[in-house]
Amino acid sequence: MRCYPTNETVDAVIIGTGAGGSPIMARLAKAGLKVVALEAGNYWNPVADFSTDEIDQNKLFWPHERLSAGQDPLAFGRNNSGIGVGGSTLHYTAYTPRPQPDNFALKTDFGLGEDWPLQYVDLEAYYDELEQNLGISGPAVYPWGPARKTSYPLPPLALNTAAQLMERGCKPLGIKTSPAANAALSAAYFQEHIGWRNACTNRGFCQAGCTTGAKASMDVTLVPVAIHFGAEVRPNAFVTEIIKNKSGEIEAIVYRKDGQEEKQLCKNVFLCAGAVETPRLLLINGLANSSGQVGKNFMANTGLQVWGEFDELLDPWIGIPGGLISEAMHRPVDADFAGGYLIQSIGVMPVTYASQLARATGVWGEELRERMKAYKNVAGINMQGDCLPYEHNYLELSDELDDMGLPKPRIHFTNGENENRMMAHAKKVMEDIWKNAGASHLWTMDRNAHTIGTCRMGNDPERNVVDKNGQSFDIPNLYIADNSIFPSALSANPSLTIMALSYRIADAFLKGLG
Amino acid sequence: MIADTFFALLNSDRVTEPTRKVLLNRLTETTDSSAFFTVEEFALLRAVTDCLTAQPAEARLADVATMIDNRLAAQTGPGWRFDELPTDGTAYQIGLKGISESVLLLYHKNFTDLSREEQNNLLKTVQQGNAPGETWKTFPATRFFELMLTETAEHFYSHPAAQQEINYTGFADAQGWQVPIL
Repeated sequence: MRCYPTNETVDAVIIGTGAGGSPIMARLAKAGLKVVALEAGNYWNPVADFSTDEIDQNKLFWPHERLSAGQDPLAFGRNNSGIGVGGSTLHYTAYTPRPQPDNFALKTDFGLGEDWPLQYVDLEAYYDELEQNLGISGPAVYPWGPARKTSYPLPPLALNTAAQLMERGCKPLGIKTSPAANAALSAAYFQEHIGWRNACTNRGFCQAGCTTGAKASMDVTLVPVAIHFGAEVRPNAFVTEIIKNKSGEIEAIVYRKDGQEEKQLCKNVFLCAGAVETPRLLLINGLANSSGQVGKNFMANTGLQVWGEFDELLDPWIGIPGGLISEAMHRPVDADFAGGYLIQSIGVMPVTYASQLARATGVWGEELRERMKAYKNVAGINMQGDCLPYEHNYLELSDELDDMGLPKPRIHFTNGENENRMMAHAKKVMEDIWKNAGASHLWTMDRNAHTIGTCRMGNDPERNVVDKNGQSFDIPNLYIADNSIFPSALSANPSLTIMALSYRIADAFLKGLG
Repeated sequence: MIADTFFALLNSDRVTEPTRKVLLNRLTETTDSSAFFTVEEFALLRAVTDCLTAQPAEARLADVATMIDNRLAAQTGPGWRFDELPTDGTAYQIGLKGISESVLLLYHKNFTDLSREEQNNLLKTVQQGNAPGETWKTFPATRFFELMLTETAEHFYSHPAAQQEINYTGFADAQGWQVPIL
């Protein structure tokens, strides 16, 4: 790997190496720019460092404490926040559906939420490209959304037991399903500058780190491409300060590495630390906030889950967790809410299942032991739906300092009427599906997933933090490229769109260089 | 407690070296001298977590209190907490004090001297936010209980003895799995 001295003014420093930072790193390096990516966590070697043990693998989750406030306080860490080269893609479930065109125009269609300053067609070519780069496994014909210009490069992964049960439960209800698109390989796959990656072995520990390289986390896909083209990835570099010069442009990034403070000089900065750390860094440094919108409009997808026990032996940890999808509820005809949701089947690891069962139902003692004896017979389905931006959902800095000596972020989150109605709708639909599939002992986990918003992208500098090219309205050489710039939450899982946006932001930046 | 078949599987080529190491470490994770809690707090936490996992003190499958104690001593956590609770260690200390107070008020005894049924009833009042005592007037009992129960469930079912009880063998995945066809 090429390395740059800290006193050399590199073309770009990228903060964060997840779904936001890695595509930019690859793009800029390929264009011949000098790029340094600063990553707060380790550069893991999955074969040597990852175990098949959920507690041990907690090391993939962002460890610095966040304060969770509001009526529906969110679980962070395992639920939505990664650390290490690859960021949250190290533990994402690898669901990679595309949003549909109307996802980007919620306000136009419903008078609620926000429209995006760009459309599906602006991202389409990037979705096409990414699906090939990552080696997405998916069906030959996907039943929803616009006709595709390219097919998924690989056929779908084997349906795990939850997926088979969802198929069984949906059929009599007339709910259309399809094998899902997943960023994991159903066959060995070769990509230039990455090499061969092996097919998925159905370990099912996607959310605790893939040891085989089959899951397309950034560390085994776009990061190697970036390194091939001369980018430097600097792990264990925790960014604390963003330094401006006299003309108001950023000239250096300060970070801590191995107990030392270092300063990297740079011409441009791409902030890609996610919807909590990105606004937190800006607020700590008092930057890019003339709109007063940094930290505002925090969103988390409606993600209610329904679980049930079945007579059959299911081994619910085996296979890709999200094998089957339905977009039949994208715009339900009987909806009393704006937007809509996907339904996805879910496999589950034992500690996660025990934890959720205890938290959601409050069972303990003999009852917990009895319910857990049915672990091998459980399967789940979940929704992934829109969430509107609200004034009452936001991130602020607290007075409490974390282990790095920086103010802990406090995140306020309360579902609004729209989210509550959507979740009630989904609960009924999913319970019907599960009953039809033969489930008993149904229980529900109220849940919101992903961190979205806080540095909104838009055309109006008064209401937004960055423009549609990710460029700060206040600081011309500062760009943001991650889930924090999403104007609305979308009903599709966010990772693929984060990556597509980053490719687009990188291309717009390169075009600007001429 | 742990069957020979578990060790046979653990030492086979179906388990990766990093996984084997982690599970063996977990089996030996014990301490009688508490690292984070006082001796009194630790004894109470042990009795409470035994109750939450329905384990007899004389034949424990997994020593959850030790796992919580080690976690807090190592100053690690899940990366978030409820804003209405203090840091996890302090929350446990206050919560345990609250439980002691409630037991004294209701039974004039220590928690460890109660029958399992009495312990269950007492913890139910904490979970439901009805437990008596000064502490609970200002400290959110149900949130504390959620923290403690969730962590207890996670530690317990990460232990090979508890995983054996639910017939889980997912750690033996070095050669991958065939997806079952229903």
